[in-house]
Amino acid sequence: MDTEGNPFLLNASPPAPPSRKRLEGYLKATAIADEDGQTRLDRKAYRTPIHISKPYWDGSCLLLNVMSPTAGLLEGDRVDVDVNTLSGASLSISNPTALRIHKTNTDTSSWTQRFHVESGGFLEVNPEWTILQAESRFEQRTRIELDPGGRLFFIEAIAPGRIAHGECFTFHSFKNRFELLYDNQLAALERSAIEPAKETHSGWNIAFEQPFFISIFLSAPELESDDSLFQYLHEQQTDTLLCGCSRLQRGPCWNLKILSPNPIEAKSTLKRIRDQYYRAIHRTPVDLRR
Amino acid sequence: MDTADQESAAEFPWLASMLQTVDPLFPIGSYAHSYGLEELVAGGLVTTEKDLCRYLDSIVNLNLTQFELPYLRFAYNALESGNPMLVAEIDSEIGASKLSKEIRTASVAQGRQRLSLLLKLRPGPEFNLLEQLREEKRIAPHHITVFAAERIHHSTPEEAALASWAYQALAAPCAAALKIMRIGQDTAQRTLTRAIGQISRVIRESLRIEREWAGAFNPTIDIASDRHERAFARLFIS
Repeated sequence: MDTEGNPFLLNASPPAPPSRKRLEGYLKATAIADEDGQTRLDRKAYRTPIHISKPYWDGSCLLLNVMSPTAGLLEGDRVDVDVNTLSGASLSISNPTALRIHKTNTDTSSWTQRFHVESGGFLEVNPEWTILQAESRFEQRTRIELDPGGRLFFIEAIAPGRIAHGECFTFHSFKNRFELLYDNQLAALERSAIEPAKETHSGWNIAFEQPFFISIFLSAPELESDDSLFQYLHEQQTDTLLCGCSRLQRGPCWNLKILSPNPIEAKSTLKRIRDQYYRAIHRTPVDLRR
Repeated sequence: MDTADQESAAEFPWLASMLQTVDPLFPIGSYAHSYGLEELVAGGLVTTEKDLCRYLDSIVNLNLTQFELPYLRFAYNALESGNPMLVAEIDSEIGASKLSKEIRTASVAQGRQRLSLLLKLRPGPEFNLLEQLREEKRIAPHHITVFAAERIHHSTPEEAALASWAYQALAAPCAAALKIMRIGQDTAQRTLTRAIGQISRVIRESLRIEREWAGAFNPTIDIASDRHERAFARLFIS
């Protein structure tokens, strides 16, 4: 397998010094469309372990690269993300490096994110893998409020450990809560509390021993009547990649899921689906510059 | 019926009614659903008795422990509190947690059919409330919600209600397996017997699950259900 650029070959977790101060970082941003139709950030605030690059306008979408200058999340670190995309604004948030969750002794690291997309707004959230390293404790909460007429492409990509280090399902715990509200009504609700030592990962690894997981939540008014994207995804399944999609209980909102032991194959399938999504909504995909 | 029999029946007035509604004879269409198993069989992931046991352990029991049994409890508490807004919230959460349309639709179809029958067979205020909320489009209602109302109607003890729900969740795939796998009645019963042995543990663990985190991470079955929705040929509705 080609491992070039594979984040799972990184060095072992740096040990957290006992007296290390817990980081409480944040990112707060509001994307608005100015009179020329160009998107800019009206509000922008962040604190370590979050760092953002200078936003880049590619002619149709504003690209915001979010990075962690630390080696990932260490014991007890917390991050709060609050992003609003107002009507007419187009924002693509990319995390170009993997988010590594390091070993903790007792405290849980947490990442809480809230996104709001107004009617006529477009938001893509496209992070690299979240890697649940050995003995890590991680809690993630996501809430997305999508107004009718808003467009969304939201990705969650989870690796069950650093596979190349022989780590797989050796994390201590991973709690994940995801809510998608469409027109203020619950469209999707996912919650899970996984502790491999208690075998609560059993629904994850039944097909593959080392499964990388990607979940995509997407919505657009154009998808109300266009089924081609979902048929396309259905046809991407191979012996080493499982994938499926289904419509949620509210709005033109869908969930797509991918499981594969091969992170490169999973990512390349994701890229093709992303291209198809952009085609369906008649937009050009923003170059993530990774 | 002699005096001893009458005393025994009086001790468990809920039992006969509960057996009636979890029996495959009760026409809510359970026989028409495999809940994703058909696609796993078609994909070669479940082909043997051992695979079927693993499926019940790792997928069905996980879902029972972390999602279905806790939500049966939450729905019961909501109905008992007489708070229609809370009942609607719980029912909506059940639907939103079923990301696969086929599984969600199956839950609604069975819930509605069960409610419709209960309203005819045993009218009661719990069922009337659900029917009113359904007419107002505030609930679907999902199968779990109606099952919880039934438990209130009959004053079924909590553990008996949880055990009966768990039984039907385990029996349904075993019945479906007979039609889509090369197994016989003996094997299906052996598999079910083994799974029933886990019910007490599953119930015990489910009681610890709080509403905020009630949900099972089951991507393999989610994907199977999604794919079943688009399958070219299929025997079961789900």
